[in-house]
Amino acid sequence: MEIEYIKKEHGRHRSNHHWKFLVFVIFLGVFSFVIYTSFYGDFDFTGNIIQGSDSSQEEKSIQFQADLTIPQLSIEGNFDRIELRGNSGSFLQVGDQRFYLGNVTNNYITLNEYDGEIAFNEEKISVIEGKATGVIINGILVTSQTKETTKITFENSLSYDLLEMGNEVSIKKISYVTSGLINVEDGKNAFVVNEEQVTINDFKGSIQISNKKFRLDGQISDLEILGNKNVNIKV
Amino acid sequence: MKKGFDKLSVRNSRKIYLIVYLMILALVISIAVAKISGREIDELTLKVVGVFLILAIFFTESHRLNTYYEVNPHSIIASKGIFSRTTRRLDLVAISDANLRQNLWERMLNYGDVGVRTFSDDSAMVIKKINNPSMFVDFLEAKTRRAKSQRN
Repeated sequence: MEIEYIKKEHGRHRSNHHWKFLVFVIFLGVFSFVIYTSFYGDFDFTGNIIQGSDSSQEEKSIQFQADLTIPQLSIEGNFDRIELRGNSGSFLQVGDQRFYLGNVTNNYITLNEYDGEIAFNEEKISVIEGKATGVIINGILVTSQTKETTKITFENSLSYDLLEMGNEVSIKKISYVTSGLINVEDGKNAFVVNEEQVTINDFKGSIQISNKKFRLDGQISDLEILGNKNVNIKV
Repeated sequence: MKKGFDKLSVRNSRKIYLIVYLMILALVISIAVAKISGREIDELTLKVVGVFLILAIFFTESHRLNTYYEVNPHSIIASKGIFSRTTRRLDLVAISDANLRQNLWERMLNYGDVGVRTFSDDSAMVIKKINNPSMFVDFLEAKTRRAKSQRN
């Protein structure tokens, strides 16, 4: 009688195939994730899952409006919209295009969804460096043909008479000697300051600079005025 | 493949992980293309890719280090495992013949399996996925002949 021994190796081969298939599926998942997040759409994983209410933040903040002198300030962040008007004997670099700003006395520039730095003082905007989804220069829309965002740089400082920044400007702290009018809680408290040290903490709102006035409208957590009168308002 | 005067030691060829290396390359290239074209790359994306790369390299190298084959003047040794190791030793004089198995892809990349048969068993040992298997077979046959002639 013949006895035939058959070695079972198929099980191990199938197991190997399963592992290979699993690795390939994981790779496809990771690769798709990379392509989607890098090339398409705004993806915010945690932002979509953890969305808290801002009401607790609003309850812990003070409504604030002020018309003050213009400080020297540098702000970095995301701005829904920046509008400015000014001139410069230099160039504005938008992506790989350069626009000369010296031809027109007052150039009107709009930056949509700007992400970057802006630094200014009473006279000039010294730094605009970042990215925006769209740039409008004197009514002409300039956008990148290939990319979602366009790199923006001012080659030199810009003399300006108008600067408006959208509704979600965040400034951790502003502290400087200034003069002007401050309204707190919808005018319930109003202060006239005259060359006094004003400190504002955790400002969130809109900023407008025009007619040599620095206009803030939003929410703060803390206000301190030191000078002729000492005022301290906290949440 | 390490070759001393009388000893040849081999491990699995890295060519069997070519697909994994191509996956790694595809991910790195896609990140590089996104970066060059000015796209913002999500921090989570970079972490996921980093974890995949580290795990891929770790598991391929671990798998490769898991097996070790050696031909010395007296025996052929197959060792499996890193922490707990199983070693099988086969005397050269017991070997009847060796065969070489390569599919088309393995022939193109010059790696394959070597089956070592003994007089008593049909397929005693398989040396899996080694580089330049024909050279291994030649070396094994030379050692086997020498061992048998010394015995006689």
